[in-house]
This record gives sequence, C-alpha cells and structure tokens, in this order.
Amino acid sequence: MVNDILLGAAAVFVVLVIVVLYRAVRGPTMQDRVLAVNVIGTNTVVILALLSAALDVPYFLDIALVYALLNFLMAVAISKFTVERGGVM
Amino acid sequence: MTPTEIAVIIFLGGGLFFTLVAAVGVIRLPDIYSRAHTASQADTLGAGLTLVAVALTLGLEISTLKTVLLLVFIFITNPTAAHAVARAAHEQDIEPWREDR
Amino acid sequence: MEYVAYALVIFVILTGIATALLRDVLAAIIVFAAYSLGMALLYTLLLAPDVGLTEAVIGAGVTTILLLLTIVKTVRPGGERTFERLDPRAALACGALAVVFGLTLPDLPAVGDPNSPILSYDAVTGHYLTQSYAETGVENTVTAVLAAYRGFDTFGEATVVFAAGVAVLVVLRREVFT
Repeated sequence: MVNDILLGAAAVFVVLVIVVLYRAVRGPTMQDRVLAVNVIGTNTVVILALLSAALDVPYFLDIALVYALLNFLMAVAISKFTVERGGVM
Repeated sequence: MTPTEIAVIIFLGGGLFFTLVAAVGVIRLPDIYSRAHTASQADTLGAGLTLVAVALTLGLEISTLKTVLLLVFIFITNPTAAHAVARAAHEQDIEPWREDR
Repeated sequence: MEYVAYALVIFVILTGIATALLRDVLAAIIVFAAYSLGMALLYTLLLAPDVGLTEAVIGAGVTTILLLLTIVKTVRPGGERTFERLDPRAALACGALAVVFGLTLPDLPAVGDPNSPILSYDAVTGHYLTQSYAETGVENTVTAVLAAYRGFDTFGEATVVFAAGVAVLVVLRREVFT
C-alpha cells in the first residue's frame, strides 16, 4: 500500500513540474526561467527517489544523484552566463 | 498500519504540501527575487521531507545512505543555486517589485 | 506507474512545443534543458537507466553548454514577443504528420511483452539473451553486446567522440570569432 502512495505522490510531483513549466516558458526575465528549471530539476530528483522506493529499483538513486549534481551545475552555469562579468556565487 | 507507514505518510504529506507552496509561489509571486525566495526555501523543505519519507520506506540498507546523501546535497545546493540566480538578476539591474508602482 | 508516465509524456510534449515556439534563443535553450530532464526521467521509468543517464548528461549538460558557447560567439535575436508567430498552414501540416505517425502506435507491442516479434521469432535475440553470460561473463546483455560483441565498433565510436571533443576545445581555445 505504501508503494501505491509513493507512486501517487510521484504523479502529483510530475503535475507540479508541469505547473512550474509555465514560469519557465513565460519568463519574463531569463533568471525566472533558470529558477523554474532549477525547481523542475529538484522535483525530478525527488520523483526519481520516489520511483526508486516504489518500484524497488535501487540504482535509480544513483541516477538521482547525477541529476542533482547536473541540476546545480546547470543553474550556476546559466546564471554565470547571463552576467557579463563578475561572479554570481 | 505500522508506525513507520504512518510516519512515511506524514512526511510525504508535508513534502507534497511544501512543494505545492513552492509551485504556487513560483507561479504567483510578482518578481524574480520573491520567486527565488520561495524556490530556495519551500522547495528545499518539500524535497527534504519527501526524501525523508523515501528513506523511512527503504529501512536500513545502502540505498538509505544514498537517500540521506541526496538530502544533504539538495539542502546545500538548492539555496546556493537560487542565490546565484538572484545575484545574477541583481547584477543585471533588475528592479525589485514594489507595491506603489 | 501509468499515470506518472502519462503526466511525463504531457510534460515532454509541452516542453518540446515551447522550445520550438520561443523567440529568444537563450529561453529556448533553458526550456530544452527541462525537456531533456523529462525525457531522461521517462527513459529511466521504462527501465533503460543507461539511456536516461546519457540523455541527462548529453541533453541537459553538454548540449546546454555547447549552445550557450555558440550564442556567446554569435548574436541573439531580441524583440518584444515571447513566442514566434505561427504559420497556420505549416502547423496544420505538422499536426497531420504527427497524427499519421501516431496511427502506427497501437500496432507496436506493449513494453516488456514476451510475445513481441523481436523476442519470439528472432533467433539472434534469443542467442544473445541466453548465451551472452556464458560467452562473455557480463551480467547485463546490453553491456555485453556494446562492450564485448561489438567492442571494436564501440572503440571506434569513442575515438570519434574524443576527436570531436578535442577539436571543439582547440577551436574554442583559439577564439577566432571574437
């Protein structure tokens, strides 16, 4: 039964990702889009962890770790890119 | 229902609630700085609570360690990324939203 | 599990359409990264984690960086509009083509169907599935085919990718376009 609840939670998270996508498309500034994609990435990691527990596939967690790294790198890289000079950290 | 299952459901409910708050905030708040605020705090807490629920479901094994690692990582990187985004917005001279305009 | 997959398919289609229609190139790149994340999640959900991992690293990581470097070297079309104007006839043609392709979907076998033609009538697949562990000692059949049976082929591919990477680094280092 817990597995069904986890799967349901994963489905709700995907719906929330679709909702946040509105901000990524609409903008209006570039930073809004980066922020929305960062939230989407975090939710992706959580969805993967939920699926890993619900479907009992332990190696999904390794993929989730890679996603978490990639998501952080992407947000910092695009923020850095939108600033002409100077740091963002 | 065992106590573990009840705890899992409570943590999962909390995680879903805070992620919902983050999603509403990212959609509804007026400018980039307030959106960065909700993305860094509400979303991090939502993801953290959900990962705690996942770790409780898994019980004691090597996967739990990975989940906790993921949790720590998200707790560090998510606010850092939001900070980087907000600072990039500040460097680009994006004006904060004010009620009187 | 089906609901998660359906919601992910909707997400991927929406991001794909948004990537095509967004006027600002940088915005399109950012939304394309989200598309890649959704696609990778879908691959992982269909139990192809290696493909999902590659999609995430290539699509969301390397492609984003390469496209960002490209628009550093070139120009970014500006403008007030968020979306590109859509030609109704072109949209109609694309929609009709998508429907025609979609009509073939019901004839595909279900995911993991043991009676699908590739598994039931094909001696080659059966040979790899039953013999690959005895012949190569690799547990995963896909990995056995990639790294053992067609090892030289994969080696050649890796050489090509490495050469391309070195070439990109050389070109970027010289910065001839600035």
